[in-house]
Amino acid sequence: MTPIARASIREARPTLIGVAAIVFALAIWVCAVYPSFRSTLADFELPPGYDAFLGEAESLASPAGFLSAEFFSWIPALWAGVAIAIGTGALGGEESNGTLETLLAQPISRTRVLLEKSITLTTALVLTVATSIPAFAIGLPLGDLDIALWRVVVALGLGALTALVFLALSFWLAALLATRRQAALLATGALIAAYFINTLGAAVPSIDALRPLSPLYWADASVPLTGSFDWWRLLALIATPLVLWVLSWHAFNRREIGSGMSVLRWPWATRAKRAVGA
Amino acid sequence: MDDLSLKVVSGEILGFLGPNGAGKSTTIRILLDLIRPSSGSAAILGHDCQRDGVRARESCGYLPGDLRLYDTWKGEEVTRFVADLRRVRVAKAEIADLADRLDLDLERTVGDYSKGNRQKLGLVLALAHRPQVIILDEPTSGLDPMRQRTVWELLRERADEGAAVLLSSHVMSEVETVCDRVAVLRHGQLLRAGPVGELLAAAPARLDISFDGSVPDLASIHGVSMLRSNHRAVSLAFQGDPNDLIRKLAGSRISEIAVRPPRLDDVVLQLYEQEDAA
Repeated sequence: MTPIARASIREARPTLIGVAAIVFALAIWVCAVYPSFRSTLADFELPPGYDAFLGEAESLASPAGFLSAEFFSWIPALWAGVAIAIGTGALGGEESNGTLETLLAQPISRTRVLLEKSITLTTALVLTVATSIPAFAIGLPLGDLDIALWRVVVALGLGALTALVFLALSFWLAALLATRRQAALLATGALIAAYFINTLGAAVPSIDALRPLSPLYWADASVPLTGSFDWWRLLALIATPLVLWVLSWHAFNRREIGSGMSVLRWPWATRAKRAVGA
Repeated sequence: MDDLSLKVVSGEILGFLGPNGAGKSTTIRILLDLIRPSSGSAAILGHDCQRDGVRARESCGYLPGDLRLYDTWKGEEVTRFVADLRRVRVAKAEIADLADRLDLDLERTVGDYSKGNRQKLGLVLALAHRPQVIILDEPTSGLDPMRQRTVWELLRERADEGAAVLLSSHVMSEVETVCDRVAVLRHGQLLRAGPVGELLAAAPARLDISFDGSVPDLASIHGVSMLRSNHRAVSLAFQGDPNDLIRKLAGSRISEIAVRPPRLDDVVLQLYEQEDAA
């Protein structure tokens, strides 16, 4: 492991291990409680319009519907939140606590720093999501959920890709904006917007047209859980992080490290800095 | 920075002087490619700091003014981390020797270090790989007088071995003691650069004279600037023909006289005053 990878993983490790452990336990618990809810949910009818929350799944009582609603409707958003925390921390956090300056004062290029941090955190995030696979391997037979494990693995893969979209977005915003706080706020705002557009769009026809803009829509787990697959959604989940990483690379290479200034030169900000003599 | 042209050669220690906001740290950050100049260029051993930054920093050791490190790491881990980043084999004996001379315990966690110990660790990181170019921003800040002296000895040794040392400092006595040449900056411009001895030779000496009786009119002598005066004693800066002064004093009864050779802080203050007057 390279020294940058070592440092990055060391800083992100407590968060990732904590989240992996919680989601592991949650996956087993959701599977385990399914038999208790199955009969109750069989008679339960969602109000008109809310059926769309189930995505492609037929009912809340079906294994695909239950897992979509109880696990996949919000866990990918949790992973995305973790991605924002570690992504903004890797650049903006290291810059604000001064360690990025120590790193870049060494004979290494910014491209190498960004690349190694990206690869390390992508791997760590995928492994964090992957810890749910053994949980489902235990949970599916335990809860008598009649659904193939590989379908759940595909759904988890889409969740991991969603997290990578927000990891790349965090890198870009942290490289672009003045502080980690700004980057984290904007990325979290984007996640919340993506979540509400996806969930409310299912019930509110006027914003339904916006759903295809949400990464959480692209990662709709009910699609693989019911046995179908949408290649366009997968393509969007793969292409978006790649584009965002290119943008991150461009912004990070133009960044003035430790200056507390955005790569973007807002005219009003420049005027304000001049006014205070900064 | 505006129209700054400066060169540090092998075997010399250049003191970089100037008040806060003069542009010392900005210059250093440009050399390390942490920030980019709007025009002009900087090079280390012929390598352009921006276009060929990695090569430029390969031969460079840097201690920032406000060193930040990973607080949860041990000092020894930080030294190994930086050596791995540089992809150089740094002899453990070299690190141990530096730590020993600076009285630093590398087995302690960085978070437990005092300001002075962090500074010592920064010095170990900057010097352990025996760089050809050493850039230090306030290197003795937070160190006790004994360790300050050790740092000065270390820098002199490295310069004698052929290293070029750029030392940014507010402490004039330190610069006067350890540097061969000084460059004085203000408002981003170079006010003066030259050998320490040359600057001091051109500076006025200071005299403190107490009289048994009335104080003669000394202000009329060419080259005298009165600093303080009362009915029994005067302090003056003198840069002229000593015979004129001696002739004038010969007519008075002197109880005490102290001649203080020119000091660097007098020279620098005089430069600032001249700039303000201009």
